[in-house]
Amino acid sequence: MPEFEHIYRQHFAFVWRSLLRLGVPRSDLPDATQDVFLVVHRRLAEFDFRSRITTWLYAISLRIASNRRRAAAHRYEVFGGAEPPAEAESPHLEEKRAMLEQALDAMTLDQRAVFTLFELEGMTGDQIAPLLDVPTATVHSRLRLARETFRRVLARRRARERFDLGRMGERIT
Amino acid sequence: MNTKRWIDDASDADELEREVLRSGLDEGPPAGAESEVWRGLLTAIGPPVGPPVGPGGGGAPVPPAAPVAAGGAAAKAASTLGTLAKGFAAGIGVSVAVAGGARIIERPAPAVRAIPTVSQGAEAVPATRPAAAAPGRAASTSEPTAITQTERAQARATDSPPARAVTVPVPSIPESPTSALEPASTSSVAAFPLLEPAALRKSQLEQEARLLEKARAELRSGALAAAFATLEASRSKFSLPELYQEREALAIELLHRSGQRTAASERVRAFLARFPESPHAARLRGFMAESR
Repeated sequence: MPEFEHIYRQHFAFVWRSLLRLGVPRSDLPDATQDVFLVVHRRLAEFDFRSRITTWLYAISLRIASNRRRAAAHRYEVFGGAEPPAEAESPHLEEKRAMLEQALDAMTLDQRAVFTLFELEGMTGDQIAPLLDVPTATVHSRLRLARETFRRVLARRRARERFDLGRMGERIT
Repeated sequence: MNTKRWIDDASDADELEREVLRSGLDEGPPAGAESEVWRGLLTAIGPPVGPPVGPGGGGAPVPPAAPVAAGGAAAKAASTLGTLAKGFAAGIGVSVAVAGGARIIERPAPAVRAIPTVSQGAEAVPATRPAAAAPGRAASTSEPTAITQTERAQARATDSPPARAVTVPVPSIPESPTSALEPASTSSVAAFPLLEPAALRKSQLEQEARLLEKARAELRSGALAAAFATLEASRSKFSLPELYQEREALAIELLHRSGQRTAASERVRAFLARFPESPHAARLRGFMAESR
């Protein structure tokens, strides 16, 4: 148990952040984080500590996020779709975060994982590959696709904002 | 491929793209989240044994184990009510952490799903709850308290198919503290979770979690008869439990510890058929393996 608690204390923020970046809604993060550490607690005896603990934690987080993504998809089916993200005129921090979430949501989970590990966690392709158990070339191809998605979503958003501003100008004049 | 990070200056990204990426850098857990999740974990897996580890990772200090364990279920129950409400409303599975070993996933989605090896009544796990308990259950909850445990066990054997085929060893802990088929109901009465006030459900969940914590503590301390009585109280009070998996896992453990290994194994099989991904699965399989 002390070993488990040590892992928990050391890596709680990492797991929390990973789940968030993998698309787990903020309101679900406490439950999802607990899910991850319940798995850790149950399987700690099997972990041989030869590989990095963060690799293991991320793999578990990815699975939990994937399960929740499926559940969320079911929920959206019931309600007929997710709420569109709120639009805001001034690009403050919250709005930028909303833009980031919108772009990440447009990616597959695999692309999202690579993109956030590379761009936000600052990991290299060689570090990400074993984490996701894929070749480095696959990491690079997923990163390329994720970047295309990221850029496309932001470009579309900017175009929409310009359009809205144009309409506003028409109303003013 | 250009492997320079877009978030860096002088990358291929434009200014807005960089700013958007940077907005995601500082998103850490809010204050108190680490302690809250830890309390939920303690509730699920039991208090730590041995010297506590300091906060180290930047979170708040861990309160003493016993009070945390005692209050954890209620706190966790309260904290998960939002999730519960959403899950109920959507008719999907919901998750709650409680005493006794792990997380519970009740009322799996979709609403009705066929599961082999258990009777049809158990296969249909409703997304909605009937307004009143089924007649059989209502009869069992009105049992006089003076009835002996053995009598109760014999009576239970008549409404619990898995337990009926089991020979009860002597001395025995009554063989079916909870029915493996308990939450089954195909009633199409209006959706209970949507009609029930949230506060009432919160209160019920907390009470249920407390009872199961008590049963777990009694079980682990070897007070098997007391654990049985507590589980019975839970069964009587919560005929449609939120924490069904947890209660059933404790009942199976009780059977196992009281020497009724065959009955325990049968219940484990039924449990695993119904909840193959349950967090209890590994521990319950251990009971089955020991019985061989």
